[in-house]
Amino acid sequence: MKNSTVKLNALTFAAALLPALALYSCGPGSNYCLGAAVIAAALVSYPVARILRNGLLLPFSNISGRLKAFILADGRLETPLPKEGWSEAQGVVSGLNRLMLELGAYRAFHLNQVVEDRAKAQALIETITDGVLLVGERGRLIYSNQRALRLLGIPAQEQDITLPASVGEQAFAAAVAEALAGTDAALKAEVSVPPGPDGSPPGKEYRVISRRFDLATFKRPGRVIVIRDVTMEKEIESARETFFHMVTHDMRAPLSSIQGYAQLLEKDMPPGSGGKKHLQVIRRASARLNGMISDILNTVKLERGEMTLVPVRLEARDMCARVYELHAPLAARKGITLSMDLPAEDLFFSGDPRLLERVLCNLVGNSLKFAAAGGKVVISCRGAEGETLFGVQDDGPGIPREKQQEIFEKYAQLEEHKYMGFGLGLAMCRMAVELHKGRIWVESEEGRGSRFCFVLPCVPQAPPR
Amino acid sequence: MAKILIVDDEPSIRELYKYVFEEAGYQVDLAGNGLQALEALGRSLPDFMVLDVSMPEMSGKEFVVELGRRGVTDGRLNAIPFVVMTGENFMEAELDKVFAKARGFVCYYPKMTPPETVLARVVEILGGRN
Repeated sequence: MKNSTVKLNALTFAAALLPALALYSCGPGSNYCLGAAVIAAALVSYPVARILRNGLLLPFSNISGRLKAFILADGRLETPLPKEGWSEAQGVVSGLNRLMLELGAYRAFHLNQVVEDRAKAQALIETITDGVLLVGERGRLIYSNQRALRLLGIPAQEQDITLPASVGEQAFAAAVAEALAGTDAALKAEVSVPPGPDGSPPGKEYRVISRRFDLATFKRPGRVIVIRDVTMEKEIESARETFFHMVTHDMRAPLSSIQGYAQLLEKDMPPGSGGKKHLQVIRRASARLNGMISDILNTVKLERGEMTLVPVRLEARDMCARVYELHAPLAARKGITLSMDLPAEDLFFSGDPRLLERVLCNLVGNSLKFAAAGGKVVISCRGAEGETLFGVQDDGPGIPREKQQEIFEKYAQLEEHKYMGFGLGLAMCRMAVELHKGRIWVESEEGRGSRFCFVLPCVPQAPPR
Repeated sequence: MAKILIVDDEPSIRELYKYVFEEAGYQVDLAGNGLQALEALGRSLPDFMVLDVSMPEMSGKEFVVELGRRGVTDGRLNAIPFVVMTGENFMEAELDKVFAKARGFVCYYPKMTPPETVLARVVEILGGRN
């Protein structure tokens, strides 16, 4: 039994027993004895009351006062409560001290975290060169960086900013309104800001990207809007196209001379002579160069939507044979077996012969580029459910599954083929086939070769443009 | 009585640790940053240290580097075992470059680990010395 319990029991016992003893010792009915009993009771009650006060009442009164002060001081405990009174009271004091200190420490810690997180987010968002806005329901601006406010022409000191109403820069008004009204998860718009009256500031091109976001604390989804300056990007793209255009046009003329004169000279050479062979090499090389120039021009035209198709009735076996003839010498030199797998009957389709021949040439050229000596490349065509299917199969290194879509993008090249060509060929093929309302794809497994296929509708069609 | 030095710039965290360690019968000394901790070491050497990383004037890292430097002449200084309380701003690999190399390093604890957990580790390391 605890010390304090024993003490309390003894005192209670004494308080009850002493007056009874006083009464008993004097015998019943005596006034003197009654008085003695009352005095005895009083003598015992006083120390009992004091002990109770010091052991329980004072500590608990302290606790109650300190708890109130702790709450008023925003959870800050200046000094822990003194441990006084009986052990039970001390236990309560100890536990409370621990809890109050921990609560204070947690509050301080979480407050610091919030302040720090805000500072981090702000530092990040102010450092990036894009304008960034976080917009809540009914267009209420929750957060933005200075750049975004400057771009949209919103005074930084303005209170309660609402979009698109607060947008001062008219060029952005429509794009921001559209971004906020849209229900799609992600939206994109291009904005041109015209140059100032005397050309300063210069005109700028921006891309406005908006994405929906959901935060648990917001009842409705908001939107993040990013405004990116793409002026430079667009200028580079345009310069690149101009450069391709210029180079290809200027290269064409001398190349035609080389090809033409090589052909003339070849005619004058006796058959089987060394000179004739050399001239054949020149002619083939210039034909290849001519093909590459065509690819660049075609890519630029296809991308700009400027390609005009000149569709005619074509025969698939014939086209395969022509491409085969063009590549047979190269295949022979590389020790690769180039062959054809063609149907017995004619297979007619409609298309632009120059463009489609370039597509097939690119596919065969690629296969010959990647097949090893002793390898095989097969050009095939067949009719399939109202379509003409062309295939170029090789036993080269193959293409990883995750890259099989990507290789049809412009400038996309496998890392290991980085320095082999412009990376335009397959992108041009895709655009050319799609312009013919066809499809192109690759079936491949790493280490087991690739099969590039494209299908074109068999039924002659009116040109798309 | 074994002595623990608590080094943290947040007073409420220092007080919490002080209370828990004192309750467990340890003597506790407090410091609000690395400089104050060095002063405390000048007064008397603790048997264990609980060290915060990010502090004004002298951080936990700088303190440990300084301890290592002073430990060359007074081997007792860098032999004091210590735990490091880390916030979310730190990557352990970065912290390792300083702390894990220090002679007295015991382990990391995420900030706001219950002090009793740290206490249990201290008891384990100091053994019967208290």
